[in-house]
Amino acid sequence: MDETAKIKTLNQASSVKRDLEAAADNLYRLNLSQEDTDTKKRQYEEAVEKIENLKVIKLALAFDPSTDFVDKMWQIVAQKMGEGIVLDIALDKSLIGGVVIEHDGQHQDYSLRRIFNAKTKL
Amino acid sequence: MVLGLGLVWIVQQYRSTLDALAKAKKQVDLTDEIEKLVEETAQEFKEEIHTSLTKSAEAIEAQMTTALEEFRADLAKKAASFQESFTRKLDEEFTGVSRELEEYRKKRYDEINREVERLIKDITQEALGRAIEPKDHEELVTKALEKL
Repeated sequence: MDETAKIKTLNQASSVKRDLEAAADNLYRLNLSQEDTDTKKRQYEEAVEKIENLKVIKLALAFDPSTDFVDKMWQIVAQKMGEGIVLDIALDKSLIGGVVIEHDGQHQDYSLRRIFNAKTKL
Repeated sequence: MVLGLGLVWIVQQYRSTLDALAKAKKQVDLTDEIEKLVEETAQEFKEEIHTSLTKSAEAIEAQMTTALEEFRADLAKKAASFQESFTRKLDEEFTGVSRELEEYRKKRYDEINREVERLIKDITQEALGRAIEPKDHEELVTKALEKL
């Protein structure tokens, strides 16, 4: 089973990557044949490489999202940008509401703070 | 004869005494003249000295008066100049301090304004954030992500 398919967030990616690296280091404990060991090791390394190549989309939110909503956000973003993405979610209550998105060097502010600041600028 | 000799002796003594008296009188007269001359000379000398001293004193007084007047005039001039300079310096200092005070007041006023503005914003943002329901938060995010 492809472990990387379940990855939606950067935290999950880091966790899976650590697990894969640990598993690769412990292959010798399984007493597998050299061929199987090499095959497994190559699979782990490919999986780690795949994780490292995921495109990171940074999202700043004003609330702590549920797991379901994280999945929903990932689906929307993946639909727009392709599946090789991972969300790096940060909590920033000063945003009031909405989201700030950063990807490929772009900064898109869809927060209520931006609107609030624009309306209250003296 | 003895009487005659006695009379002659008396006469001689008398004449001798008269001569001595005449001589003494002459000496007395001479002394008076000298005294008189000395007195007159002294008086003249005194008057001369007095006159000279009076002239010198007058000259010194005149010089002193002139010098004093010049000193007074110079002092008054310097005092006026100093006063003018001091007043100008004081005005400059006062203007400078007033300007600094005004700048400081404006700076503090701006700082307080910014701080009040920031506080109001923070409180308003906090209140707004709390007022928004989780489903509304999710809807806002969903709409934003769909714009990608």
